[in-house]
Amino acid sequence: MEPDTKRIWSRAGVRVSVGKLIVESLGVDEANVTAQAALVSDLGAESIDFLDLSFKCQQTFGVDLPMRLIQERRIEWRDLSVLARVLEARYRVAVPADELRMVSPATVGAVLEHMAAKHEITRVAGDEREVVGALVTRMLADLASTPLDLSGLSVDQFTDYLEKNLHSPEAVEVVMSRLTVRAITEYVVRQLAAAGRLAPGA
Amino acid sequence: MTGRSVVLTGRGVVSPLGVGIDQHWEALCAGRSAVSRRDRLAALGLPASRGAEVAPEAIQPHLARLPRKQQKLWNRATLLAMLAGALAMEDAALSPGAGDPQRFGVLLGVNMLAWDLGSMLEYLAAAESPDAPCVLDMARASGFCMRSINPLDFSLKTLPNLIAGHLAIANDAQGFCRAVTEGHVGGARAVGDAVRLIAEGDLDVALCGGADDQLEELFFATHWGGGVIAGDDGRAGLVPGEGSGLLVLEEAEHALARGARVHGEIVGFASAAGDGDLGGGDHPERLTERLTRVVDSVLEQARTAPDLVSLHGDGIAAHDRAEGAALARTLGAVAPSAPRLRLKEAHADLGAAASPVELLACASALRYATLPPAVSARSTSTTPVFRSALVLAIGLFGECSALMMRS
Repeated sequence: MEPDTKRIWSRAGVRVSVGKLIVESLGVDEANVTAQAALVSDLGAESIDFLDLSFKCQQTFGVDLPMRLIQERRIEWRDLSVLARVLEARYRVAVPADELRMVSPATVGAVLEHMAAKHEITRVAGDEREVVGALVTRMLADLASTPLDLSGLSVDQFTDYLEKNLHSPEAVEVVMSRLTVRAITEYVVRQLAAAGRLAPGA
Repeated sequence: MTGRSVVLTGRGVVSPLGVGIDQHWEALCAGRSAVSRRDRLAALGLPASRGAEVAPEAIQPHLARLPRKQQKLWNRATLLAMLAGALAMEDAALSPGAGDPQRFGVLLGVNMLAWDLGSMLEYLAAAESPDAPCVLDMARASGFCMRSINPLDFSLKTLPNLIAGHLAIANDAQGFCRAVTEGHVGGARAVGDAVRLIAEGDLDVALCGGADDQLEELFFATHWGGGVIAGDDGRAGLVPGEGSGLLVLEEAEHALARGARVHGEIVGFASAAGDGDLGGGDHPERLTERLTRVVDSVLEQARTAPDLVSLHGDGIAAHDRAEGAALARTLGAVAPSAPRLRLKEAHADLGAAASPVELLACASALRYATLPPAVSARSTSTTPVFRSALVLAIGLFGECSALMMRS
């Protein structure tokens, strides 16, 4: 079957179809597929399910669901390459992510100590919070183009997690909890609208 | 056999005659046949349409035993195997891991790549060069694959070895996981290899047997082309079926220690590679010799003659002749009147699942000291006591195996 790239969709039609795809892909009861249900924590989605869901979205709507992008972003945070870019922009010192990963404990405070000792950066009061804030802003910007509902997610909330631990599992959990049925529906609607395939007034 | 004793403690049968060891056995004893004209096969337009399917209504009540979401990852043979595996583990009263996951393994006879014929035809049409008919255009083929084939449907459902992996994951068998792709002897070989691994101390428990789906159109059409499928006009050959037979085999002391119910002991196994002679018609004497050697070896290991023989009996003329000749040589003097079962007449040829399913039917025969009349070639009165059964398997290219079980 070739992907359908012609059909004009209504918002309600998208909502119903996304629901059906999720029921099929995740083997869950329709009643559990509510708008706010999170795919991973509420509906038990695993990486292989995203492969299936992405394919089905492509076939049904002709819209690519960039699930791989979310995975790639997660890897970039975990391997600290995003942090390396933030530090380079702030201090004009290029430190490889591998080196940052060797710093223990994995906190921005310890990383800045390391940078001061090895790369002669000058520390100032409050720099730790500022770096974490810049890191969070960058991470959220990276996720803006994915099917995550980031509304109401404050930089401060995230900063709290990452200040304690750069690999904070809570931070990842918060991000993944924003992968909801509604977020996927809205993502598909936005893509269809951009392609001129959303019915007027829908 | 040498080494530790290996006993049967779990029995899982998913056959065209029924789902469950007792359902299968009762249907055999009632003289039922599951072979009929299959619309799916008839639709291929070949002068052959008979087969045996595991009825959807027999499977439906058991689906709740299996994880719902995982089912989308399975092809037909995987579904049948997962069901037989669940039944065998339940019968053995074992939970996932079988006590020690590192000492628990899976060995499964499987068959060939399963690619849905409709999907394949769609692919071929989309991949054909617009300029040169019947020539594959790789750019078009790749484009179609990337856009239109769900990776779950293609890669995961076509690879035959994944079935063993699914079984091992679901049952937490971390000690060993192997798919044995040896066609129609794969199931016997998987059981035999499991016996050896347990006997030699590598494993304590194995979930082993076979699963197959020979009603796949590609299997049917290619094997019809190979001349081994029975025709509707009486052309001799095998009648294909689908199913799975899984055994929980266990080291005897291990079974005793946990108070498991024992349904028999595997006391002999041998096998021989084939010579590539499809259907055995070109060199029948070679096949007879190999089968003779295999049966002799099993008799020597078991140190007893069988009270009962389950023939391979797939309907391929050269196989039937070789089997008869080999049995005359090996059992002619020691067990001339042992009843011979032709179980495939009732449930068709279950391919890689055949020997395990037939071995489990023999376990029932030994247990109930009775024979299913419709498929028994000799009178039961000559052998009133059944203590041991010999199960034979012959592959399409002359490979063969034999297993001996004692009650």
